[in-house]
Amino acid sequence: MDNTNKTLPISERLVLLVKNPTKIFVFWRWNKAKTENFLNKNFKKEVILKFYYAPERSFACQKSLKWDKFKEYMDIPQKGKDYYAIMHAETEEGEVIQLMESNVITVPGLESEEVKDTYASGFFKKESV
Amino acid sequence: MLMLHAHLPYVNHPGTTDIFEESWFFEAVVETYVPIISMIEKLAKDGIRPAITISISPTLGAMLENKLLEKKLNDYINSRIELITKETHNASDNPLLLKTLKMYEELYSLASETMQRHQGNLITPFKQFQQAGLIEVITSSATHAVLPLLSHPEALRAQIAVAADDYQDRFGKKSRGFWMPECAYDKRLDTYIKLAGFDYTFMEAHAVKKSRYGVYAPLKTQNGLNIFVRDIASSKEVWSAKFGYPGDSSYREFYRDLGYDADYEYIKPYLGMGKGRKPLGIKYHRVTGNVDLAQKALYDPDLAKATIARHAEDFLTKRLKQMDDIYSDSSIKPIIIGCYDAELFGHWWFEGPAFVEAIIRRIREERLPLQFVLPGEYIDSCQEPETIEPDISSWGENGYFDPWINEFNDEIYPNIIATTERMIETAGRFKNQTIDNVTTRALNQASRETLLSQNSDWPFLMYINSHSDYAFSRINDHCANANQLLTQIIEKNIDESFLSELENRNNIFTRIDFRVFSPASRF
Repeated sequence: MDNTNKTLPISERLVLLVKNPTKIFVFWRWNKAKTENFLNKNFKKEVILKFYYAPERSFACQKSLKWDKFKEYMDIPQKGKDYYAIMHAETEEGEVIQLMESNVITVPGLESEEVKDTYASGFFKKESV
Repeated sequence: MLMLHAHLPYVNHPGTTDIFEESWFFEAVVETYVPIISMIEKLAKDGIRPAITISISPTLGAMLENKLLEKKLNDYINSRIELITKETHNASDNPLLLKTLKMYEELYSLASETMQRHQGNLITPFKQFQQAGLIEVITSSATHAVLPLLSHPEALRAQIAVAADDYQDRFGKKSRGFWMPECAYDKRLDTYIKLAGFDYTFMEAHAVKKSRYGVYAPLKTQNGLNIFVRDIASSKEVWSAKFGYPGDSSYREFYRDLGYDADYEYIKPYLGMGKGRKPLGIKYHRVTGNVDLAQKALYDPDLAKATIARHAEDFLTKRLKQMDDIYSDSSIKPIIIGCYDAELFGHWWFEGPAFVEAIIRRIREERLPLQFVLPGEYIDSCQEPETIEPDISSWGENGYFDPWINEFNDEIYPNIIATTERMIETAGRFKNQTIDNVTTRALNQASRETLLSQNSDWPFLMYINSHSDYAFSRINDHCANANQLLTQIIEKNIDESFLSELENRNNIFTRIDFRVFSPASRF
């Protein structure tokens, strides 16, 4: 079947990017339908980001954020682990609904303090500003 | 082992002149790439095999072969020669300044002569050097993306596979080595680098903390990818402006420049179309010490030359001691690996190429028990490396990804990742379809734009607040170009003039096949 002229979906995503051993950068984007659905239904205006260890799928930590913040730097409970996240929304009645799941990332095993002398890239460019 | 990673982001603006960011290329050619070429030629002429490794990023390779940039570069060199001639006339009563101006005259004349000798294509000498066994040339990812920050495996594979093809087209053979941009690694890369046909890569020391001999013996991953690990001790002596050689008081001061010092009306013809002053690459002062820029002393080429010799001796003395200490502790004959941005040598640290040449010559002249070795030949001759599982890492500030993900640049990632996703989705749709030439061209150009949006230089420039507007606009433009093309492709309404304009401007990776982004790639 030729689906080449089917309109590309407005994609939504929950993405994790590793920043350093203690912080993950997370951002999310919703499409129009999801946004309208969220705002029209009886959801609290916060989303809950739950982080899990991969591949065990065991719970690591969670944080509640305003739904339209769209990004956050998360503190990580354990370095050297793989993580993924699932975003949830909670209704006023307390029902928790899963919204989206992220990619899996690996967090470094060493503290930045232990490697601070190693950097070389961009030193001169940074100094030139 | 000395590995110089030469890279510039792709900057090509046909139809316009005086784009300030194009001067990055001109300065790097004159101050780094030509001096390195000249160094290798001189050593070879004297029967000395340099045995250094040079990584040339695909974007830099494309710029070195670009005819339009060649013309602009020649104009740049000629304008500087004209300025130097004027300055020489004006400095007739200042012998020290005249010495420095003579040095610049030789520098720019060498650039002009080298360009002419190679018909404007500076890839040619590197190819010749490699064919003669003097050096080894390797490649890096297609557009120098920080690979661990690409969340889609298809994007990883595209960056690596396109680089492999690009090298094959440029050098007529496969590259054995792959330089990961920013020395950034995560465990996903092992498979993709090996599958693309590369034999080895380089990593930071903190990626391999658990290895038996640390950084002094080669390692390999479970997949058989050989790893050379950067030595921190020797590296810091060279790259640190505060603690290393480049900060010496006799070396050229980078931040004093004729573009800021000279009378504005006099210098205006050389500043280009933009408003305000900018550096011209003509610098008359030396580091001097911890003083204000205004108090810097005049540069003395002879004084700097003497310091180069002293530093080369110091560097080699330390390496010999380092090797003796390692041998005493571990009974292995260590390999010490120095990896640097090539642009450190010549552009940021003006005396850098002369320092490297001095080291190589000194080893020969004094018959020191040290030898520069190429990675490929070392792998072929060494015993079976220890197998390890490297950790995620980079050579960026603090050892991970802080420079590329922070409050100054994190806004770029939703756009880049959304564009990448659309490219993957579209490539998947069309990969098995019979498509016409225009659609193929549009898909391929969308692939180029997607790759170009992933360049690590843009978020870094935003982080250090240098050319940040330009960097941000580059990301947005490439994403917009890719998205516009992808929409036109789906709607079967491709604007051919828009497509041609993009093909002319971002004319890189001539052989790219959009299917490299498809979910089930040729891997």
